[in-house]
Amino acid sequence: MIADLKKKPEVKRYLLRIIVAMTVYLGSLYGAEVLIEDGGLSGWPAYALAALPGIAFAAVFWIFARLIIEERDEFQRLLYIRQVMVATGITLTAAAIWGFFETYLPVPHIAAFWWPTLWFFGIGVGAIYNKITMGTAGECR
Amino acid sequence: MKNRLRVLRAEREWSQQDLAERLEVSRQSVNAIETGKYDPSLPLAFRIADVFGLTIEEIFLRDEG
Repeated sequence: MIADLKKKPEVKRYLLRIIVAMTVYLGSLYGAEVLIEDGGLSGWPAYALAALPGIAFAAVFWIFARLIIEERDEFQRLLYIRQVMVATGITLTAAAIWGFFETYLPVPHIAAFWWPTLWFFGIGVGAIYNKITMGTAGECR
Repeated sequence: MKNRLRVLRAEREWSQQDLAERLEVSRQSVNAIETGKYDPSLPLAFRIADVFGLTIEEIFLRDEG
């Protein structure tokens, strides 16, 4: 069944896009470590290179949006949207709470790039939520 | 919203997968509609009606009260 679903063109496109985005993310992260951290790259090239991993992260949000748009099965679309709502709720709530913790309490600072990482984790939580409430986790986990 | 999908499918000896393929949706979609977890859109309801050769009202039932 899973194999059948993965043959769907919109899911195949989603998986291919995710692979490309993650390759760009890992490559640019490695490049930033080597050239900025170790090599001392500075100025606008350093800013451009440092922005690349974040842009690759942002591409994942676009990829998820395309999946929702291209999906022809309306029930699967509903499952994706519920996953996004769960992931966004978890991420924004955690970011807001931690922001106030940092303001008022002696807690360590969390770098902002961890929040979109938490959003991806939230997509997984959303799939579990769908499984419990709708009987299926959907096609995107 | 209640529906007679399971009965209509059984009368034709169709599995959920058979019906899903006729409707061009996933088996999970058919299951969610059958179990009342998901109410289909009007276009999908019309497709379901066409597949069974019935009207929407003969498949989907109003919630009482």
